[in-house]
Amino acid sequence: MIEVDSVSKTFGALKAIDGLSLKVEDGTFCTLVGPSGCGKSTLLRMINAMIAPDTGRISLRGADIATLPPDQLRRGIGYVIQSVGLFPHWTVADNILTVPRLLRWPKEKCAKRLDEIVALTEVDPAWLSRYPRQLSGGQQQRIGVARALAGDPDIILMDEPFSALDPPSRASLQAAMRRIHAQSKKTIIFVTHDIDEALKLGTQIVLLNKGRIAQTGTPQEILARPKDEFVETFIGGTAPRLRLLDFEPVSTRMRPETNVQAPPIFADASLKDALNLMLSESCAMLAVQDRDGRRVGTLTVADLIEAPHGS
Amino acid sequence: MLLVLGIAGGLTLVFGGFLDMSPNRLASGIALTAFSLSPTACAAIAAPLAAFILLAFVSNEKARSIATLLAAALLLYACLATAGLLAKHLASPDKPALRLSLGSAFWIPLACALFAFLDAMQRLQFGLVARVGFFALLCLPFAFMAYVGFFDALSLAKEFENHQAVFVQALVDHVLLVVLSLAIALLVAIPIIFAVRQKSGLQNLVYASLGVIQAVPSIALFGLLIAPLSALVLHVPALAQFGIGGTGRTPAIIALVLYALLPLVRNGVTGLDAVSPDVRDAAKGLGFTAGERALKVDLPLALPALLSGMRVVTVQAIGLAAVAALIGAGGLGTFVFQGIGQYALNLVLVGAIPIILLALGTDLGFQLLLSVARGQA
Repeated sequence: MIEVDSVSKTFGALKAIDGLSLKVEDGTFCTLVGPSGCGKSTLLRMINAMIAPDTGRISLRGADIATLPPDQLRRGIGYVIQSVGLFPHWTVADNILTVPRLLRWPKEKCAKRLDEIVALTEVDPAWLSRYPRQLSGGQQQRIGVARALAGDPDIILMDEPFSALDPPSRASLQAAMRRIHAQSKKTIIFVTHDIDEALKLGTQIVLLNKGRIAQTGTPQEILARPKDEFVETFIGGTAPRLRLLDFEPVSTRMRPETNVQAPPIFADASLKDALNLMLSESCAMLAVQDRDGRRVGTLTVADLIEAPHGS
Repeated sequence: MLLVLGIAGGLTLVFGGFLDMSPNRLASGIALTAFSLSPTACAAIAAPLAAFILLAFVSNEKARSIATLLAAALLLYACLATAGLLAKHLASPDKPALRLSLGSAFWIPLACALFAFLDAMQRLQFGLVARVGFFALLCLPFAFMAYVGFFDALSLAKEFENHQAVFVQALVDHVLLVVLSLAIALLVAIPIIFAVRQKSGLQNLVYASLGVIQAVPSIALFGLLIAPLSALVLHVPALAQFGIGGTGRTPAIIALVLYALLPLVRNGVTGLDAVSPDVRDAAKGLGFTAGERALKVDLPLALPALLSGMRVVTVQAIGLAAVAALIGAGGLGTFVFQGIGQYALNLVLVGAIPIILLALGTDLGFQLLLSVARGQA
């Protein structure tokens, strides 16, 4: 668990972080999001001691990071930055193995780890002997992610890692991160200014404003119950009510009737998929099936619009 | 280019002396043209020169360049063979003091051949390795000819033979002087480089003071060091046991180090400035210690710039070390100054030619290193 306890940091006249406290449980994909200058990158860089807080403390698994040697602390934390920063004089394979070599792993362990990482991050093995300048921006950042994971850290810090990439590369790397998170159950702290990206990836969203937490919670909580005007404005552009449909499966809203004829949809599809199907089929009703094709219920437009009791 | 080379070579061949013959080492000689010595030999040298002139009108660049390489090789060996053969022909055992020096009609066509080589290789886009290999191949027969005594009748070879015993020592001294001062200069420069980068205010001060040193003429600097060093040894006599004194190697090395500092520091700082801050940030964030960052990231990335600084400094030091012979530091410069003192031009060449070859070889070596270092960064 990462615990941030009443941390403040001032740069000159700017109060970057203002008495902020936050807890991130193990295995969380935590996205830090907010307008520029809200302190999200500062907060991230304090977790691996790249920036020292003026007051307050940050602890990992109960240990105050200020008491740990910074180099050793950082070797146990993955680090991915927007500008990638691959070592231009090393091959891709050498870049990936940066941390294992800093940790002086034996050769065989390094070779084995390289194979695992290449598979996990879907790096093309043909790239391994190339130099970073021979790769595109998206390919380079994929190596950046692989490099961050190579030392098998419990925590990975990512500072706007995909902001500078073209949309296809970004989407592909976002998908890779979701998969890697699901497979490895690592704690990921991910900074972005893009609320869409934050909602898409995060299991915990931390919305920051002027060095304080404006709201934190699951994407659904943020979308359904924005705490104040700032949050509402910040998520406003994303059509939050539509967006919420993404997080809820058809099975929670369907009614048990099974005799009406309608276009079919799976019970575990999202409500957004259901709405999309209604729009494309010009119908107000869908026949819900389970994965074996058995009819289990019916979903109507009214069910989409009216949330069931208690939600 | 070829036209100019061909005409210049041809003119000196016709009007310049190929061999200077003098009755002894010190008397001034008479210049003998190649034609007056042997029309056949003269034709052998003239033919490739004429080929240069004709080749200048060939429009196919590739064909022309390859033909130029061949013609230049012919010219080179025509000159060398003629020099050796004619000298042997003119020399006689009953006149041991007779001196035969190479004249302008030898040196200028030789230089023309070298220029033609360089130009043709440039046009053929020879890589560095190909260039080195080609020159090595070209020099091989020459080395063999020299070894079997083909050139022995030339007074240049005689001077070399007379000084052979001290030549090796002088060469070793010269190289040692350069290598030692370069090593010391690096040891001094690296901390200065890091200090300058830490405190930006230092940069102007360091550059200005090192710049002043660069502006002092080398002879003056050597001279200036004699007094303080002599005074130092006078007060701390123990130092004399280590060979430290007002003259000799110590002031020479100090001066060479001082001259080397500015190019080294400036190139080092430029190299480090060019390392991207993102790469530094990533290295720090991944857990490199400060020492690991300097050694594994900063140094290799700044290496190409540092190497090009070392290239300038080393070539410069090879030349400056020759001047250091004046204050008794030894080295190949000794022959140059002895030769000047005795008005024996061939003795000057015994010192000067190895110095030039040393400088050219070092330059090529650094170019090779640089291309390796650049290939990685």
